[in-house]
Amino acid sequence: MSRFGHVLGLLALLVVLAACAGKDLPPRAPGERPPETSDEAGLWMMSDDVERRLATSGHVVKDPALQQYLHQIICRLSPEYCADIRVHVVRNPHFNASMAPNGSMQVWTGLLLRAQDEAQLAAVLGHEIGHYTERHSIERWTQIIASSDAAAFFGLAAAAAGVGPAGTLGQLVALLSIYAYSRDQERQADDIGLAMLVKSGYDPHAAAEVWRGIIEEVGAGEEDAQRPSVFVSTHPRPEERMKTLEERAAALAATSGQERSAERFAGAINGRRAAWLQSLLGVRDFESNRIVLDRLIASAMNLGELKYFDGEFYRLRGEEGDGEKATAAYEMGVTIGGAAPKIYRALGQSYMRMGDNERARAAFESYLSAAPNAEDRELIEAEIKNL
Amino acid sequence: MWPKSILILSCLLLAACQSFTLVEAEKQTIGGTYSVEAQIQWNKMDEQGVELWTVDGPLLQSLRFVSEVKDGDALFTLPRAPGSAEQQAQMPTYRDDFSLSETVEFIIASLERYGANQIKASHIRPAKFGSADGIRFEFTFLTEEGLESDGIATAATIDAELFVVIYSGTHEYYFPKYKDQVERLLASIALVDGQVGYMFKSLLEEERVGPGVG
Repeated sequence: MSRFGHVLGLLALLVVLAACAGKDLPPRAPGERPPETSDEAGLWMMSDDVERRLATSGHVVKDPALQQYLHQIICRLSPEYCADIRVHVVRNPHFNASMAPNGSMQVWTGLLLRAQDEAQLAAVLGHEIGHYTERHSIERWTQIIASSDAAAFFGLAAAAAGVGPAGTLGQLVALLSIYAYSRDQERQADDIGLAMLVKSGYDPHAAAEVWRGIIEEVGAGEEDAQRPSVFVSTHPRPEERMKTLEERAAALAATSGQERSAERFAGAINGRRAAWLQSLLGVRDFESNRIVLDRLIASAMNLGELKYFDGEFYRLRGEEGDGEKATAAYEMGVTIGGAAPKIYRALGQSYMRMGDNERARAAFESYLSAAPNAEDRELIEAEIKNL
Repeated sequence: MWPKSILILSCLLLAACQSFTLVEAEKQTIGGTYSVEAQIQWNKMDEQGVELWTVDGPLLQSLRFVSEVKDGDALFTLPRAPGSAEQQAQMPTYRDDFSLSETVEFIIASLERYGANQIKASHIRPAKFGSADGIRFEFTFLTEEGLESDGIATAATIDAELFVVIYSGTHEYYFPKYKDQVERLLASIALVDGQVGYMFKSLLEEERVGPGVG
């Protein structure tokens, strides 16, 4: 089917679905795929197509070991639905996870950067599984097209029918499937996620901690829904959800498990985090990035690497005094060790900017020594010659 | 929050409405600052202030001339679309005190924000940009659809402004199709009289004050 055909199909499907708007759907049974004659079957078919496109898109991180780690958590949280759910890691520095109606889950690298342990990650995954088992996507879509939101949606879908890249439809589906679940749906997913945490032996306090982190980062009290996550563009308000989750976790504390699995989580993201941090700093949302970095630095996992990115943060922000802060961070990273060789290159550039050519030369030479096959070797040799 | 793909879609929709003009296979002046020898006929369009040349279509291969990037400017300007102001504010901006490495990083980061996914640069090196000292590197990336693509970027600072030329296209067929012609075009870059390139600022400053610099 052509791209235009896909979108037309989607539009037609939504018109059909409008007819059943407001219908309460029973929870999905494990292994259940909607009958071919049902309204939902078309949505699944479209979701399958979107998933195929997503799996080959430029945004997906092709990392089977990481996918397997995430899938193991899903299976632990929900053994019944384990075989129904597939995980795709998407390289995007914002905080998000989402679930398509057909069991295709997206986990953004921004979520993996912000989770502090496996329990917090599991809290988000459990919440998304809740949306899936309760068929919230299809319920929400039928509500959308029965409401005034329909015009906005149809506008977007019609635009996608023009010359949009293949990934666009997938993003649209992801956007719509998570953009605005109803208050009741979010509460229900929170309840299901929390129950899964408890049943699996994770510390249920982790769910409220996730929301505390989001609130801290986006200043949700000011209703700043523009950044950084569509995850917060929902109701009830994050503070209310955090409070409710805290109260429920406290009530469950006596009988629930306490597992956090911080080390296992650290092992799973070890060696992968640097690329995600690079992507995070590429966004230039300095307030948000500072909070994320401070949280990671407090965790002290591979501090040398974090000090490199701390330095990069100050260098990129470039406010008064940031140059000195960047240099100090790089120096500390070198002292601690564990950062990639490019920390020496960054340090060399800092010294060069300060006019300290002798130390700049030494730092550049350390870089070339640590990374003799660096792709920018000729450029750094030119920098040294130019000192 | 609008996904980047929506913005890219807007770019493409805008591109679809753009009209192309023919670029003859002859000497062409870019922004009044330098000239190139076009080896073949190209089609030219304006992409938000960037001069874009293509033969088979911008999605398949493109040669972008980004000119006069000043301190505080972004390399690319996103078309007006829902959420584009927020995305534009997050684009990296040029600083005229960038080192060579920082200039390379600025170009790479800008390409990433403009839709080149999982970009990997290679053979980053000093290179002549006409008579100016500049930089050059090759790169690979994935398009939104995951299509493997290749690119070449070269740049120089001329009179305190950054000039960049970027050739990119699909790894299969369209990038290699005109790579040789583009290489000859890049080798033909000639600064218009009176323009001075100075990526190596200290060298230039020393040249200005006196002899003794090799």
